[in-house]
Amino acid sequence: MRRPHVLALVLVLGLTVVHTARADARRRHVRRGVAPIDHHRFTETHTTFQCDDASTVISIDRVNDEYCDCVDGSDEPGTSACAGRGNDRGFYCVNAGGVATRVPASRVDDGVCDCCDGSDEDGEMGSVKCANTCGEEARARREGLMKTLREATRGERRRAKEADKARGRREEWKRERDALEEKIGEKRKRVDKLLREAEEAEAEERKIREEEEAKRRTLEEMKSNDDAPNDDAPNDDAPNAAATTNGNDEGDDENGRPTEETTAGEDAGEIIGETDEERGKRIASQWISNDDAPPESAEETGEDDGNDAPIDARVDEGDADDVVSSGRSKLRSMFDRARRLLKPSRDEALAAQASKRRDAHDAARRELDDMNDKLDELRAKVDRDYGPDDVLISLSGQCFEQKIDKYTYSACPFGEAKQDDVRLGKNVAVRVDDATGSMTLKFENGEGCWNGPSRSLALALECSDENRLASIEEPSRCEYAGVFHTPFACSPTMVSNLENELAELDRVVAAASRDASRDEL
Amino acid sequence: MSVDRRHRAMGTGARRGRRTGTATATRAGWALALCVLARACARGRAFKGQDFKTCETSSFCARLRDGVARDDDRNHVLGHGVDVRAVVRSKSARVVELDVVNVGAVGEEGDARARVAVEAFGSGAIRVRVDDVQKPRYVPKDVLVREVEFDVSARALLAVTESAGEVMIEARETGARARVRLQPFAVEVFAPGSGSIPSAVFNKRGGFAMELAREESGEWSETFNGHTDTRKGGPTGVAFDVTFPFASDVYGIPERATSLSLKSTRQYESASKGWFKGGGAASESERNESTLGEPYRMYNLDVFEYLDDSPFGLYGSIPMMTAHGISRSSETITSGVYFHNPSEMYVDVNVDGSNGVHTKWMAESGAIDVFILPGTTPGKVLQQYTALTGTTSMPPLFSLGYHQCRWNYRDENDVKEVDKGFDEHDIPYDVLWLDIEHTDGKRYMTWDKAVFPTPQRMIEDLSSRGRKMVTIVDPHVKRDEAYPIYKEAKDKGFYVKKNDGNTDFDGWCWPGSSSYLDVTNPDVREWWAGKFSLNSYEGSTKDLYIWNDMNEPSVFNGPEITMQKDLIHHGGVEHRDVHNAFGMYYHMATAEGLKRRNDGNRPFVLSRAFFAGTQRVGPIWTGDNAADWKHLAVSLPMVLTLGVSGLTFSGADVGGFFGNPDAELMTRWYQVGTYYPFFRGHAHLETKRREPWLFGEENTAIIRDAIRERYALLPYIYTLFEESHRTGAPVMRPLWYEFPADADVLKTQDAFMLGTAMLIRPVLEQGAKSVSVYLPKGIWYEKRSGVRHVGPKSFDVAVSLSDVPVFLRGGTIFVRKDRARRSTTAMRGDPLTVIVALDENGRASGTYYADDGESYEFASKKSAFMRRRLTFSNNEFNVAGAGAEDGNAGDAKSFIDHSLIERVTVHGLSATGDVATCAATRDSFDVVRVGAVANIRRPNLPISRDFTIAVQ
Repeated sequence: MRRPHVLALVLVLGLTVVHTARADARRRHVRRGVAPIDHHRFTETHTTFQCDDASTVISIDRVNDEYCDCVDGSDEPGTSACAGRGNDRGFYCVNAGGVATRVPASRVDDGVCDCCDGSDEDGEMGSVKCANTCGEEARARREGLMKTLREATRGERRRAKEADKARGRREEWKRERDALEEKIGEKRKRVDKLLREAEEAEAEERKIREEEEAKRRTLEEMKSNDDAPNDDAPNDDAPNAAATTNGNDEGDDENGRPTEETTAGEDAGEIIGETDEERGKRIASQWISNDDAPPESAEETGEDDGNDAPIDARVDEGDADDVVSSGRSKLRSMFDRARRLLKPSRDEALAAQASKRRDAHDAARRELDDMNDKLDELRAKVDRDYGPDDVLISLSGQCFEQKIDKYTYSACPFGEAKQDDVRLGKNVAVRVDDATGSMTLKFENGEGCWNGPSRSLALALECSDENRLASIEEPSRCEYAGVFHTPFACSPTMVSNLENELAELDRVVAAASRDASRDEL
Repeated sequence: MSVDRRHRAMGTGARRGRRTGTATATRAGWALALCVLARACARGRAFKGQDFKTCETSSFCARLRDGVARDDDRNHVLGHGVDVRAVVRSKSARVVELDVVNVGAVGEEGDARARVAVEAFGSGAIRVRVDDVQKPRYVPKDVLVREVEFDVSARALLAVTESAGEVMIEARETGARARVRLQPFAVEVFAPGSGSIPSAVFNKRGGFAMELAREESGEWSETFNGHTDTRKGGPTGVAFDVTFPFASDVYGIPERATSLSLKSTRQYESASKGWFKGGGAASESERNESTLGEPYRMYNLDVFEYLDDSPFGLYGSIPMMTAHGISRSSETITSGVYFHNPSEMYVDVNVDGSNGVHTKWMAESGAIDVFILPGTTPGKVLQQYTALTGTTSMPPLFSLGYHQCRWNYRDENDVKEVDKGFDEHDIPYDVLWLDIEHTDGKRYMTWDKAVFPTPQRMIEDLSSRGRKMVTIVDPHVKRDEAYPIYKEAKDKGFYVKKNDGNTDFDGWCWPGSSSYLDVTNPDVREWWAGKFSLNSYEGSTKDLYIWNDMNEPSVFNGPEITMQKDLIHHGGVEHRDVHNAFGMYYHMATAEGLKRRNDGNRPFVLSRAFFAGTQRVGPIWTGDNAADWKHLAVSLPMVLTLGVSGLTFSGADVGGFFGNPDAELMTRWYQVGTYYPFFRGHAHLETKRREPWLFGEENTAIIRDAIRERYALLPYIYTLFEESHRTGAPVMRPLWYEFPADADVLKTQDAFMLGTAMLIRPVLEQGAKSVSVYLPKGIWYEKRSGVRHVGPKSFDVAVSLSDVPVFLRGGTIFVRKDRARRSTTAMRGDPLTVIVALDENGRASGTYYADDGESYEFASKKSAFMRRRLTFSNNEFNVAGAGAEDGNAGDAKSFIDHSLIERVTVHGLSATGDVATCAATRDSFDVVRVGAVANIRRPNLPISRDFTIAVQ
C-alpha cells in the first residue's frame, strides 16, 4: 500500500513541470480519500469511472463531486455524499508521518478531526482546520507497541518455560489418581473389617446389658414406687425421627413472627403447652434421673437444648460443636462417649472395648472419606479443560486477587471467582475464539441475584509477562466481565506479529518522513 | 426509572361515608420503607391494582358519579341530583356573570349559591367559570399563558342579548357564540359560522354538582391503605357534563395506556333515563365489553409496571378532550373542552350513537373552570387550546436526535466506551444520559466521585464530538444536613409541609428519607433555577442538560406512591388542590435554570409528570413501560394522544424499560422510535445491555438505518416542531387529524402521519410477514419502491425485518438531509434533498424552516429564521420566501441558511425529459431516474435563493 503511494509522489514530482497547479488540484480532488492501491481507477485523465458493483459507468468529473451517483457509493470516496449508502469503504486518511487509516464517509467534512493528518476535513465543505497529529500518534503508538512487545516477549519466555514444567502434569495427576483409587480399594476393605469387629463387640455388650437390665427391672417392679414416664426401651439403631424436628429453640420463624408451638414428636411424650426450654429441661432431667441408657433419640435433642441442661454441661464443648458440622460417625462416637460419661456401669469394660473398636472404625472411615474427597478433586483436575494443549494447566490451583474500584476481586482461574465475599461463579469452561484464538474463562453459577440470574463472569485472557487480574466490570447486572493478564495467553506467533507490526510502523514512519523531506524540496 | 420494589399487602380502606373514617393502622408504611432500603423484597412483575384507588374507593368520585345529595345537605350542595338555575347578575363587554342556585331553593341569601362567569377569547374559546361565593376556590397559577391569566384585553369583546330564559353571547372578533340557558342552567357553544347544532353543550345532562364550603367543622377524614387524609375542609367536589352532539369519537385526557379513540366507560339504555342525574350505579350489564365500567382517571402517579390497556391514569394529566364527528352530509366537526383544574379527577365517557358523545367530569376540589373549544377542525381546536396553555416551545435542534440512556452507565469509562461504540458502528446519536446512580448517594447535582471523578472532563470530551450529556435531577431532596442543597432549602423553609403546616414533610424516595421542594412557590422555583448555574452545579458544563424524574411526585411510602392530599403548600394550599400541576412547576423551574445558565438559549429538560402547559416547558416520556410487543403497540396511541392534547414532544422508551427485548422487538421498536417526537433508548438496571449494536450484525444494520432515517428526517421534523410552536399542531399525528372526513380512520392507531407528508404503518406484531395498510383518499407513493397507490385503499404489504411501510402523500413536499452523520452538530452544513410527491394534478407544496437551532432570536424582533415555500406544478419546481399564511419568511439580515440543494426527488413526474434547467442561472441538470422516481441531480442552488427549475 505504501509503495504505490511513493511512486505516485515520484510521478507527481516528475510531472509537475508540465502540469498546471489547477490540474494538480484536480488530481488531488479525484483521489481524495482514495487508497494508493486504487489510485489507478481514480485518475483525472480517464474519462469515465465504473462503480465498484459495475452497474454504472459515470463521467470522471462525477467522481468526488459531492453527489452520490453509484448505488454502492463508490464514486465519492473523498466526500460524505454517499455516507450511509451502499458499501461504506471509508475515507482513506493518508496520515503523512503516521499510519494510514480509514474513517467512515460520515466523518468527512463534519467538523471533527478524525484523520490524524486532518485530511478528512480539508474538502470544499470542510469547516475546521485540523492540526497534524500523526507524528505524535505514531510515536505514542510505537511506545505502546514496544511496551506490549516487551511484555509479550517476557510472557512468552515464561510460558515456554512453564510449559515444560506443565507438560505431563495431567499424566502425573492421572497416575496419582490411579494410585489413589487402588489405595482406596484397600482402605475400604479395612474399614469393612473394622466395622464388623465393632458391631460384634457392641452386640456382645448389648447382650450383657440387656440381661442386667432385665434383672434390675424385676427388682424395680418389686419396689414399684416410681412411675417413671416413657421408659420404653428405644430401638438402639433407629434414631427417633420425631425428636430431630425438636431442635428449634429460636422462638421465631423466618418471618419474624413468634412461632406457634413447635411440634415435638408425639412419641417423645410431649406435654401440650410446654415451652421449648421446659421441654428441653424435661427431657434432660429424664436422662439424669434414670440410670439406664437414655433413649437414642436424645442424641440430637441434647445438643440443641438449653445451655444449662446438666447433660450438656458435661459434654465437652468442642464435641458439641463438631456434632453440628460433621457426619453421622462422629455423632455416634460423641454419643458413645457421652454415654460412657453418663453411665458408669457395671459392664464398663465391655462397653469400653466396644467403643474402642467403634472408634478405630470411625477413624479409618474418616481417612477413607478424605481419600475419596481427594480422588474427586483429582478426577476433576484430570477431566478439566485447560485450553488448547493444556496451555493453562499451570494456573490450576492458583488464585489471584486485585482491588478494583470499590471491591476486592479474587479469581482462581480453575476454581472460584469472588467480588469481596460474593461468589461470582466457578470455572466451567475455557472458550476459545475461533478467529483470533483468544481465550476466555467462563465462571458460572455464582450467587443468585435478587430477581435475576445467578452471577457469572467471563474473564478474557490477555498476554502479559505476569499473572494479574487486570479489570472486572459488571456491564449488565450480575453478568461480570474482566481481563486477566497472563503469560499463558502469549504465543510465539503473537510475539512475531507484534515484531512485524513494529517493523511495519517504523518502515511507514520512515517512508513518510522521507516523503515529507522530499515534499519540502 | 421508578420504584422497582414495592411490596405491600393490605386491603383498601377508603370510606365512602362521611364524618366517619378512622385510621386503619397497617404495617404497610414500614414494610415499604424497609423494602426500599433493603432492596430485597419479593415482587411479582405486575401492576399492583390494590395500591391504587378507583372511583369507588375515592369518596368524591363515588359520590359524584352516581349519588344524589341528601336533602339535609342542600344548603351545601348545588346540583348533584337536582337541576340548577342561573340568574344574570351583570353583563359587561368582557364578561357575563350569573348566580346559580338549586331549582326549588327558596331564593334567599342563605341559599347555596355559586358564581358563574362566562367569557370568550380571541382564539375562539368560551370559558365558563363557576366558583364558590363564600370561599373562592384555589386558582391554579402559571398554567394558563400570562395573557389569559392576567390580561383582560385577551378576552374577546362580547355582544350580549338577553331574551326569555336565555342569554346569547357572541365574541365580536371570532364570531364564536354561547347560549346560556337559565333553567336548567346549561351553556351551548357554537363555532363561528356554524348552524344550529352546537359544538358542545355544558351541563346538557344536568351533571352539575358543587359541594360548597361549610362553616361548621367536622371530622371528614378518609383512609386508604393505612393513610388518612384529614380533609379538614370537608367535601369540595365539583362535577359537570359536556355533550358533543355531533361526535362519534373523543380523544385526549392523557396519560394512560389505552386506545386512541376513548372507549365508553358507561352505557345507558336511553338518554331519557336521567343520564348523569343520579341514575344509580352502573348495572352489571353496563360493564360489558364495550364499556370499561371504570371512569378515566387523571391523577399523576408513579405507576409501577403499568398495564398496556387500562383507563388508569399514569404520570401526567391533561384535562383536555377533543371530540370529532362526521355529519350525514359529510361535514366534519371537531371541538374540545379543557377543564382548568389540577386536582384529582375522573371522566366518564358515553359514546351514544346519533346522540353524540356525553362526558361527565368529576374533580375532588377547585373550581369548575371550563374552556369550550368550538373548533371546528382538529387544527383549530389545538390552536384554541394552545392559545390558552401555550404551544410547544422550540426545542434545541440536538434534542431531536437520538438519545442513549440506561439505568445506569456506571462510570466514566463506561460512558467513553458507549460513546465510542456509536462511532465504531457508525450510528448517530446526540446525547448520553446518566441515571440516579451517578450521584453521591442520590444527592442530586453531586457526583459519585469513585466512578465519576472528572465529570467536567467527561462532558467536554463528548462535546468535542458535538455531543451532549443529560443527568437526572429529581424533586426529592435527601434529608442530610451535610448536603448543602438540603440544608439551604430547609433553612429557607422551601419544603412542602405536613398537614400541621409547619413541619417539613418527610417521605421516602431513592435517597431514603427526603423532603420535597415546594415548587408551587415562585420563590422556590427562582431559587431552584439558580442551582443550575455552572458554579453551583459542580462538574456541569453548558452541554449538560437535565432529566426530571419522579416529579408526580413519587413518594414511596405515601398513599398511592405520592403525597398525602392534606400536605400544605405555599400560601396554605392543600396538596389536593395542586397535585396534577406539581410536576410541571418543578419542570418549569429546572428548565428556567438551564435557560439562564445557557445565556437565554433553549433549555432541554425531560420530565415524567406533566400537566396542561407542559408543552411550553419541555418534553415528556411515557414512563416505565416494558419490553413487550403490547407496550410497543400502545406507545402509538399514547404518543398520538399526547400530541392532540397539545404536548407533542414525547416518546416512549425504545426497547421497553423493564425486561429484556429480543432482537426482533428491539429492532421494531427502533423503527417506531424513528418517528417518536422524542427518541430515546432506555433500560432498567436489571436488564441486559442493549446498546444498538448488541443484537447481531443484521439487526445492528437495521437499527443503524432506523436511527439514520431519524437524522435524515430532521429538517422536516424541525419544520414540524416550528409549526407546532406556531400553531399547536402535533408533529406526529393521528390519521383522523389529517383525514377528519374519513370515517374509516377515526379509530386508527397502528398507523400515523408525520406532519402532512408521510404515512407510517410500522410493524408492531412479532414475526410479521406482512401488515395491512389503509391509505385514505389521495395519491400515495410507497417510500421504498416509489410505487404509486390511489386511496382510499386497503391492502397488505409484505415486510421483512428491515421494512417499515412508509407512504408519501401526493401533494406534499418536504426536505431531508440524506448524508449519514454522527450527530446533529455534524450535519449542520450538509446539503439538502427535497422530496416531492405529486398529486393527481402534478402539484405539490411544502415548507422548509431553519434557524440557529439553539436561541430564541427567531422569536425576537430580529425574526432570525428562514422559511421557504417549495412548490411544484407544471413540471416546475419553485423555491420562494414563505408568505404570511405560512408564518412569514423571516429576516434574511438576521439569519440565512446557506444549505445547498443537492437533489430534488420527484414522485409522479409526468415530464419524461432527462434535463432540467434553471432559467435564472442558465444552468442545466441531469434528471436521473430510478424506477418511477426522478431525481434532479445536483442543482447545488442554495435553498435561501428564489429560483425555478423546469423539467423538460
